[in-house]
Amino acid sequence: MSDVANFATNLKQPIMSYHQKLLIALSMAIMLCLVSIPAAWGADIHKVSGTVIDDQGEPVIGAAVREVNTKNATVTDIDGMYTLKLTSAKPVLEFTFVGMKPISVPVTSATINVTMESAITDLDEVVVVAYGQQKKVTVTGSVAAIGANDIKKSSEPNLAAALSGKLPGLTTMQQSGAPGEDDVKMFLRGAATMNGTSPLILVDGIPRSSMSEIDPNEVQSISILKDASSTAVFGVRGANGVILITTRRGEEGKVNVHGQVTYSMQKFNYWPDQRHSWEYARMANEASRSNGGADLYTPEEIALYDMWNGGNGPTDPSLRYWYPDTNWGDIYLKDHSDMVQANVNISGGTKKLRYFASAGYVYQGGMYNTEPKSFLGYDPQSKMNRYNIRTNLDYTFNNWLSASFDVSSSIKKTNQAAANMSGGDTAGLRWSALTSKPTVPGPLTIEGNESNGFIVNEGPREDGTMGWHYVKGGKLVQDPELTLAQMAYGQLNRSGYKLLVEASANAIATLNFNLDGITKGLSARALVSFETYSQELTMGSRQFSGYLYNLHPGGFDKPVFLMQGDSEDDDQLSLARADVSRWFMNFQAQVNYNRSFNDVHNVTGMVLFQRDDKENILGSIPYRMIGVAGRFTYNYDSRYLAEVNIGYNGSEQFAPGHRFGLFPAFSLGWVISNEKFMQGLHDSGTITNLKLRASVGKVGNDELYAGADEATRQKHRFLYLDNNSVVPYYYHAEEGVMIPGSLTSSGNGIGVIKEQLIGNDDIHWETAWKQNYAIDMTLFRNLDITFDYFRENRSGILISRNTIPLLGGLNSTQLPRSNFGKVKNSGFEVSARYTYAVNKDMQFFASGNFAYNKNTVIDADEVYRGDDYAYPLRSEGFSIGQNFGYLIDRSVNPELGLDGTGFYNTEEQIKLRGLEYVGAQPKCGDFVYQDLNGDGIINEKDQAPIGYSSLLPRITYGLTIGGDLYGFDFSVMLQGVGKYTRYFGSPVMFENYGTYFFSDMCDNRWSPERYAAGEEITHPRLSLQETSSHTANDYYTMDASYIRLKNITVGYTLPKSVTRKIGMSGVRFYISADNVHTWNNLRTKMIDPEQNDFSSYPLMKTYSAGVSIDI
Amino acid sequence: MKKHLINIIISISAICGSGMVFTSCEDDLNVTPDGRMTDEAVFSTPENTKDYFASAFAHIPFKIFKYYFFDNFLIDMSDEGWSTADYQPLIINDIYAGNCNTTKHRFEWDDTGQGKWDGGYWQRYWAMIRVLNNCLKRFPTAAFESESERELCTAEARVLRAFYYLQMVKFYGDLPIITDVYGINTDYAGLERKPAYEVLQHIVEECEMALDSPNLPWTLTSIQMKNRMTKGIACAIISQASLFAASPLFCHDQNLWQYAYDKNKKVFDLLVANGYELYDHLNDPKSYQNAYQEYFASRSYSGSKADDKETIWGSPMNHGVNHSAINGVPLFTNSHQAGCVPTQELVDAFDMLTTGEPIYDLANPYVDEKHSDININPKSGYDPANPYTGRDPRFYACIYYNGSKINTGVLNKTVETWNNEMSWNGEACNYKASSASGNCKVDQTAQRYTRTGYYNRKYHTFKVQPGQVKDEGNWKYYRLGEIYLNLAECAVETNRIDEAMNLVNVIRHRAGFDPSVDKVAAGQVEARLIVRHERQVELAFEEHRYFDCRRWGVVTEDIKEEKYNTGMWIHKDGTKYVYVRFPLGKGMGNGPSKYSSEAKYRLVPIPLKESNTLGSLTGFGADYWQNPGWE
Repeated sequence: MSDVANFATNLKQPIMSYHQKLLIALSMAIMLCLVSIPAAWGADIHKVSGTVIDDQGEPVIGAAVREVNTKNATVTDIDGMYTLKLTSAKPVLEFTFVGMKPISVPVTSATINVTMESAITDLDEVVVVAYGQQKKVTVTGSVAAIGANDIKKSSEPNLAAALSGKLPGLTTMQQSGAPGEDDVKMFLRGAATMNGTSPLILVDGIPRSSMSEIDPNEVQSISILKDASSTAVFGVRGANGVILITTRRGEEGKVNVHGQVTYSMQKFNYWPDQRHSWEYARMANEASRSNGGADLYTPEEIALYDMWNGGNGPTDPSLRYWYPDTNWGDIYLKDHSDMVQANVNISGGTKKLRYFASAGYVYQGGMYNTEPKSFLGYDPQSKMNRYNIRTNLDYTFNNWLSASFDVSSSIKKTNQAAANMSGGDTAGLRWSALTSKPTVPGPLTIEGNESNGFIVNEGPREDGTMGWHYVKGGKLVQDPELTLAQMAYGQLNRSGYKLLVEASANAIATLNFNLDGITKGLSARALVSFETYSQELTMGSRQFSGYLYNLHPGGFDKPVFLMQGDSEDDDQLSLARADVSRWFMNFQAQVNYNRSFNDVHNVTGMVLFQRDDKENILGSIPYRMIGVAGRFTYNYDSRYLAEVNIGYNGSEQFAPGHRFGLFPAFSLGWVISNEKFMQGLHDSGTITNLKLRASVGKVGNDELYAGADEATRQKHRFLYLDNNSVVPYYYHAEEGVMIPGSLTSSGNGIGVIKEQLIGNDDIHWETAWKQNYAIDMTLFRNLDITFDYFRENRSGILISRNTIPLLGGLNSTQLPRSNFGKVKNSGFEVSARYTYAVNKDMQFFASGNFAYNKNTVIDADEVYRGDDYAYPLRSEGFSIGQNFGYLIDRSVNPELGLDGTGFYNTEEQIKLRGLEYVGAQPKCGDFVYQDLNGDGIINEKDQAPIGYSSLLPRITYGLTIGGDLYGFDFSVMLQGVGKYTRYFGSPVMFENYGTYFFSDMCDNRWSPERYAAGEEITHPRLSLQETSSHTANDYYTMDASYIRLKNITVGYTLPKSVTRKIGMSGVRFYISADNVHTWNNLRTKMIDPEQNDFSSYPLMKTYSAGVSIDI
Repeated sequence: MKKHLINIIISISAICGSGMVFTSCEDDLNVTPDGRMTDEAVFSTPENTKDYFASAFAHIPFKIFKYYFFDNFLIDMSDEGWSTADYQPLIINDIYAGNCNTTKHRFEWDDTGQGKWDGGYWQRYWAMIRVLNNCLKRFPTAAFESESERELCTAEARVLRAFYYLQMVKFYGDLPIITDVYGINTDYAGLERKPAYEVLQHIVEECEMALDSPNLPWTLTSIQMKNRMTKGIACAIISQASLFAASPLFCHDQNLWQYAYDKNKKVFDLLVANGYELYDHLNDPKSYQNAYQEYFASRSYSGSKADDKETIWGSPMNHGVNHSAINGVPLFTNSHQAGCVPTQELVDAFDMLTTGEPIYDLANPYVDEKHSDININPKSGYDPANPYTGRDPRFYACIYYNGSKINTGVLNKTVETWNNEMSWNGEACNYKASSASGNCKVDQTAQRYTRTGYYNRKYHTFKVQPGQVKDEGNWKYYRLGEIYLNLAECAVETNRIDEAMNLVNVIRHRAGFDPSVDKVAAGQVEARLIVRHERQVELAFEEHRYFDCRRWGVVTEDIKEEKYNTGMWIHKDGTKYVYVRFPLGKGMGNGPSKYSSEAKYRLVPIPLKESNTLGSLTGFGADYWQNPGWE
């Protein structure tokens, strides 16, 4: 009873401290271990013994062996052996074990060996669906799922990233590999709205904003719900699809302790190579000259840099210092970083209490080459530590009442350099690191002395001579073209650190009622969930000092340093802290009905009420949502299936009258393989499963301003209300007198009333009408194929009005979104899995999926730009995120000076072509653009669609092959995307950025010399200023499709005979590699096609080794 | 069975208990109050009504150097100024290069993130007009403390709306007249652009209504009322709006000069009758050379300074920086940039003091398009070898030239703009003098040094101290001097030559000309030249030249005054200075100094998205909504 008492206490105090809960859970777990050690008893007439094995030939440990009609029983030991003294006359033994089909054997000899078969057949396989489970065979919606083993194959610490390529219809885009910040964009069946496209994520039925904090070891399965039938119950939140994550639970009987440790080595998948100084100086000169500028480096300087080319640099140590070939990549980056992942979990249970408890730890190190903590006093490295703990308990009070109590918590600590640069994170640091010049000495000073003559210029003294002193060693050297604050070395090492601690705790308490007493098949469930999240940012920042260097100072005959900042030493750290916290509550009450009549009429029903309350940031008005969901399914003899799903939600985002919406969906299925006429094919194993299904329905989306920061979202809530509010009147604050003066109440008033938002009480959620047609089949017992075709019409999309002129005096921030947008989306998914077992020790499998989605914007309230535009519309009629830009004219027409190269190669060609460019005029070496509207002017009107959308790829696919060979297991996974285009016109790609960076694309640049020599030219002339080529065009807009060798894993499991001897049930060693290689079509090898931009922390290649142990 | 019953009761009550959570559904979805108000709530208390009205003052332009990065584009673009930010990748660079277009016209620059600069007019002014339309719609029923306050605020709202409209017409020309409050569902079909003169006449009518107000004051009565509207401002708006309505660029071939004269005459008389007069007394002869200089170097708002009766509306803005920093001379330690420097064209415009004659032939001032030299007016007494002696006193008030004296903390430092290091085209100079160059030499790229050989002096106080920003001259939106010349122009165009000359002469007397050299015109053509010339001088660096040169022509004509502008390159040959006029701009005379002198720059383009949107919503097409020459 003490368990019950504990449990009851927990229920009453769902927000008790996490540690208390853990303690309780662990003590319960230990007690259970003790209880489950068997004790045998019996009479002494006959004695029977034997071994129980499963269909794999492995001993079944802990199977119950019972003499029928008696209380006499025992369980099998660690070798599957049992001995039982019999008590009755005609004894019959019954062997039972959870998950196995029970077997009864009459005792005919003293030794009875039994082979138990798994109770789980294809027919019993269940999938997690919205608010419940369904037998896979009766599912009519579009649901795909993967289990724990597939998830854990990846060594990605981030669960979302681990799903890449594994589920048909799910597109994941990992945009950065930064430890702890590697958030992943997800799309289910592409995008059908200009608003938020993120799928709804539910963990054990509770909505969560992200899945990246979840330890993959805690996960039992992940289901994605794609069509209207499977998502209608989520009503207004389901239109973008739903991802259901189910965590593991204890099962009766087995006590399993699992431990796992993985060590990984990570490297950047892509990092641009830098130029050597001799090469850089020449290119910089060339780039400057191309705009008529003067050389940036003199021939004497270049001669000094050349001494590094194949040599060891200038011999004079001070010349070596001033004219270096600095490899900033080596200075800023390490060769690799470390990652450690560990997890211990225990699961098991009795009839009364089942438990799963897990503790996980992840450490992910950063790639920066930082100065040691012993020197700095703090660690500026990018790194992440994450701790996860979860306990899931199920307790059965009696035959009608059971309860579950789940608690999970995670703490994530993310550390990085303070890097007080633009953007607020380390993006500026990476930009700066990338564009540091190889000709800049440093990064640090060498202590000055008589022999090297490194001095600091103090300026003229009273007597007219120049003052100086020797430079201190180990100080930052500043590129004269940059400010001190732009120096990446200083920002990385000496600007301080930033530590973000995120802690979340989640508790779910559930009561399950078996109401068979009322009517058979009726049950009910009530659930309350509470989640808190807090985030604390500690920022220790400081100003750092440095020396500007001057190679040719006045008054000195040698290079000197100039002190920067207010002191020669770095400032003290100043500490700042900021907190964010939020909470979320969810209540659910559910009634279920599940019954078969006459063995052929199978009926289920479900009704669920739920309510959400959440506070997104401290002090915000809580978000509220109320909903009712229902499901009714009927199947006749597992042949004819029908299902109705209904969601009815209310959201406070809308005006009364527009708050509640009804979202119904209908689906039908026909299991042809269960028909009599298919009996032959079924029995012969040719077609063991063949099902057709179709669904149609309506789902909603109330996400307004998704993706915007919380402050913006708060400002744009309640769009149905007018918002006039008092705002500070800041414009004329300098004088302390407000413009209207005495107009405002206080004379020099502090506020005016501004129209912040014009209400639109007509707004409502966006509606998606979805259709899904699919076929599932199993051929030859080992080839499963699923094909889904879908169409979706999304309407009433809340978009900003584009056709409201400014003339009306309303600017975009004052306008509410309106239900104007229309998008259609369609596509298909195919997935197949093939397994082939040569024998018990040799099995192979291959599984693959391929998905295609294409969306088209039908209405975006877009302004028709005019008939003189080559493309008067830029979003309507195209996919969301379609790239636009200038097309390079590669045609041949000598009269117009077009030679097919796409470049202006001579002045004469420019004249012959006679095009006027808006903005910078083209020079030799710039692109010739197609004048699509023929007006002789290259401007916005000539822009045309290029490639596909940059929002997401149209095609995603994954392929995994693997197998087991005498204890070895292996798998290889390929993942890829297609029909995906991105514009890389970012800084770094254009040479004129920062202190000038020459990408690998510049190797094939246009230059008069290279043109004259007839060399291959693909890149425009180098320039230190923005040129007409530095814009969106079909050169910088590239095909971003790729195929990745995503994962290779090889494992070896010690034979059971060995592991049993050391008291373990399973030991597996494994090595794996992630992101091994990427094949892509980009014109540059500097960036990963999936990575957001050059300033993002690159994605990682990971090599891992680990061991897992089951006891 | 009894057990079952208990089970059932417990179960049902448990479910119902959970269900209780949902009982108060609809109520729970109502918004917790967060301070937002409906329109009705806003106009329900006197306080709120006024706080709402106050938001209509948000986009009164700051002028002077509160354009993006301190560059007064209007002065830079006109023939009187040149920006020393021309080597920065800033807005002025695009303007001089003629790179503006309908998506990138830099007047439309809006930069809330970068501080508060003037610009983004299309959006800002329409937003203000909307607020004022709402005020005028609501005021009749809104809560006020008294009926007189209601009447006062109504009149003020009218004047302020007229002010915003006037700014827009001056930039954009033809516009629709919107007096209603447009919402998100307003139907724009058939909305027309009214000819500019009609809009301007509407502006005049609005201000005339305000003049009838019993409560609107003529001037401000307390310093706290800075920027509030007055009858004086209404008069000034009437004067300018009617003048612009009659001008070629805006009149659409209507002859509205009689109308403009009538309106100007009326408001001129009203202003004078209500105490406005020219500032003609020098209070601080130690610091300033004449009243004109002292007037601009001092701070005043309408009625805020007892001895200033000229200012009709003075800006309360301090801008937070000194004139000496933004339109500075390198000798000032706090000089950040020379900023907007005077051109040779402006310098040439100042007459000779003793003869009262212009130095060139007013009808044909320059020998060629490139302004290589002037057609000297022999009657003037101008000596090209001593160009800076004996000129109009306003020259000394407005320009720092080679040899002028300056107070940098050290009294009477000499400004030296000569340059013996290089010639104007950047090549080595033949004049090998002992000393290298003057302390304020012409430079090609440095921001703190002049491009033209001159620095701006207008608005500079004599005592420049970085800490004393507040005492410096402030921007005058409207002053009586302008009204004199507006009326004079209308008088000329309606053939009231004597009246026009009288007005011009009053202005010149204040500047320091002796009545003995008063202007007399033989006919309308000469009178027109004299009035326009007088405007160029009297209103220099007050943003009038930009609009004058535009409105005097039609929209298909290039702005010839601005095509080639020049500076003065001065070499020192021993003790003698050698003066060489040189073309401004990166082309150094090959191609225009300012490509913004093209005809289309007479009007600012409508932002592309707006012309497209309006084109399709009104059904008239995007071209209808775009200004000539822009696409």
